[in-house]
Amino acid sequence: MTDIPTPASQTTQSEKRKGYWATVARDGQKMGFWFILPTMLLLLFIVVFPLLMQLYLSVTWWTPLEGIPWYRAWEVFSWGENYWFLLTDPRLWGALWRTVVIMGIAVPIQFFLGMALAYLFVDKFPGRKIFYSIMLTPMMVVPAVVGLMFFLLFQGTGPVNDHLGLPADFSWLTDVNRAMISVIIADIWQWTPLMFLILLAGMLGVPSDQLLAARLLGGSNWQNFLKIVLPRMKTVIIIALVLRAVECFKIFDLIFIMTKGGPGVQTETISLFLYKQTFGELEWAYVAAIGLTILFVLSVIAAKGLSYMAKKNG
Amino acid sequence: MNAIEIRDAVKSYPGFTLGPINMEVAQGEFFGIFGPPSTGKTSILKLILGLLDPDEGQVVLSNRDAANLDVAERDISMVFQNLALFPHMSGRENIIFPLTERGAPEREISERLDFVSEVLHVSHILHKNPSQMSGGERQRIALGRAFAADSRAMLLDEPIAALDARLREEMRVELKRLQRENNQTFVYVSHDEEEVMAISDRVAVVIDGKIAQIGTPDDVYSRPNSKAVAEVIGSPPMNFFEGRISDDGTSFISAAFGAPCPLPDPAPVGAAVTLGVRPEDIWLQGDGFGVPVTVSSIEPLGGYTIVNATLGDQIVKLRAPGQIDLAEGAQITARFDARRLHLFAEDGGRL
Repeated sequence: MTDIPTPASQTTQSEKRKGYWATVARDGQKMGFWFILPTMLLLLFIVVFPLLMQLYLSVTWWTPLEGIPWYRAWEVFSWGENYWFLLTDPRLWGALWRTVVIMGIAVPIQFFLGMALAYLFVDKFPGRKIFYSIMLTPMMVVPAVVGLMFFLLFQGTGPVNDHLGLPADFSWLTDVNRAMISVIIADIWQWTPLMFLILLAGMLGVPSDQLLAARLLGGSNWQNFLKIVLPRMKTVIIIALVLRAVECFKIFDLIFIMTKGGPGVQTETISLFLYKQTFGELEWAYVAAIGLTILFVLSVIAAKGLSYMAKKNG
Repeated sequence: MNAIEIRDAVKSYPGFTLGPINMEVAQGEFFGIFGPPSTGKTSILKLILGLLDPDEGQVVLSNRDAANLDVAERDISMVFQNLALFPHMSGRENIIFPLTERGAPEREISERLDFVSEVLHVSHILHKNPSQMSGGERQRIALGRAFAADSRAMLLDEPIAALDARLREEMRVELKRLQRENNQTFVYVSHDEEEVMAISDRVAVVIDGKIAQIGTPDDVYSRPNSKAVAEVIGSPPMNFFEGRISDDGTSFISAAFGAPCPLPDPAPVGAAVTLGVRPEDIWLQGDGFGVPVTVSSIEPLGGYTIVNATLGDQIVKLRAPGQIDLAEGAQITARFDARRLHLFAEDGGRL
C-alpha cells in the first residue's frame, strides 16, 4: 500500500489535532494563572497591604514622631480609642457638616443652572458654538487656579467689592458666613459647565419628533418639558447629580487656596480636615481610623444602593 | 368647506424651491400626497403644521389664514413615520396625552379613551408600554393618540412604511375604515404609489417641489397630465417610445416600430412626441397595432405575468393576466390598446 491519505486517516489527524488544542486549553488555564500572578501580587501589594497596614495603625497611638518604626506600633497599642475619639470629635463632625452644606447648596444650584443653560442650547442660534466653547472653559481650568482667581476676586480691595461699591474692610474670605458663600460661588462657577454638558447631552438625546408630537398635541413647552423631556433624561440626571455630589464631597483645592479652611475652621471640609490631621498634626493613626470608617460607611451605602437598583431593574 | 387650503405657497431653500403649491383638502376627504423621495412632500406637511412659514402665499385652515396660528393652535394632529410614541408612558397615557395636556375634564378623557380604544381595538394593550407592543399595536396606539386629539385634520407621514407587507395592507384597509367612520380629514403622505392610490380619494403628485397633478387615483393613472407623472405612477412603469406625428396627423411614426401606429385622435402634424403605453395596455394577441418584439425574460407573479421584451435596444414591459408560457428569445407581436395611448409633447405635457 502507498501512503495516500485515506478519509479515515484524515479523521484521525483532525481528531489528534482536536486533542492537541484541548490540551492547550487545559494547560492554558494553568499557564494563565502564571500570567496573571504578577498583576495579582502587585494588586495585593498596592491594595491589600496598605489596607491591612492602615487597619493595624488605626488601633494604635502611633505617629511619625513616635520614635519607633510603624511595624512596632503595637508598643503603643490603643485598642479602639481612635474610633471612639472620631465619634466624638467636634472638629470632624463640623467638617462633615460643612461638606454636606456645601454639597447641598452648590450641587442643586449647579443642577438648575446647568439645566436652564442646556435648555437654551438645545435650539440652534447664531454663535451657539462660540458660546458653547466659552461656557465650557471654567471646567477646564485647574481647580487650584480657580481657587486663586476667586481668592483675588474676593479680596477686600478686589474687583468684587470694587464693583459692588463695598468698602475695603467688607471682607469675604475672613467672614464666617461670607467665606462659605465665596467658596460655594467658586465651586458653582467651575462646575456648572460639567452639569450643563451632561444635561445637554441628555436633552439632545430626546428624539425631536417626540417633542414635535407633544407640541402638536397641544402641550405647552413647560408641560412638555416636565412630561417628555425630564422622564427621558432621568438616567442622565441621576448620573450628573451623583457625579457632582461625589466630586463635591471631595472638594479640597478651591478651599485650600481660598481660605485654608478659615476663618478658624469655618470652611474646613472633610478633605481639608484629613489633610490637616495628616500633615499638620501628624496624627496618622487617627487619620487611618477615619479613613477606614469612611471606607466602611461608603461601602455600606454603595452596597445598599446597588442592591436597590438591582431590585428595581430586576 | 375646505379643511386645509394652500394658496400659491412658495418656500425657498438653498438649491431647492418648493412650490408654488396650490391645493385644497375638503372636510372629510382622504387626501394622498405622493412623490418620489425628497421631492418636498414633508415640506408640504410642515407648511400645513406651521413648522415652516411660506415665503409667499398662505395656508388657510377652515377659512382662516393660519399665518398667525402657532403650531399648537392649528388643531392638526400627526402620525409620524417612526410613530414618536412616548416610551415612558403606557398605551393609555399615550392616547390620553393630548387630552390631559389640554386639561380636559376626567369624564371627557375616559369617554374619548373608550371611544378610541374601541374603534382601534386597543383595549387589551392599553396597560402595556410601547416597548412591549408589536409593530401593529404601536401603530394603533399612535393612531389612537392622534385620534384622541379630535383635531381638524390628521396628517400621516408614511405611517405604515415601517411595517411588513402583510400588516401594511391590513392597516391600509383599517385607515380607510377609520377615516370613513369618523368623517375625519386625512392627509396621507407616502412615496409608495400603490399605497397612496389604494386609499386616497384624491392624490397630489409632487415632483421636484411642485405639484404636478391633483386628481382622483383613476385620473392620475389613466390621464397623467405630463410625462413626469406618467413616469412615477404605475408599476411596472409606463413604456415610452420616441417618435413624431405623421404628416396627416393620424399616426405615430417611430423608427423602431417599422409601421406607423394609428392614433385614435388627430394630433399636431409633424410634432416630435413621446408615445406612452402602460404595460397592461400591451396585449399578446388581438388585432390592434402590433410591433414585433423579442422576449428577454418573464416574471410570473401568480395573478399576472410581466414579460420583458426588447424592441431594438429598448426594453418593453408587458403585463398580461394569468400565467403565460413563453420561451426566452421567442418572437412575439406586442399589440397596443388603441384607446389607452398617451402622447406627450416635447416639453413633457400631455397632448
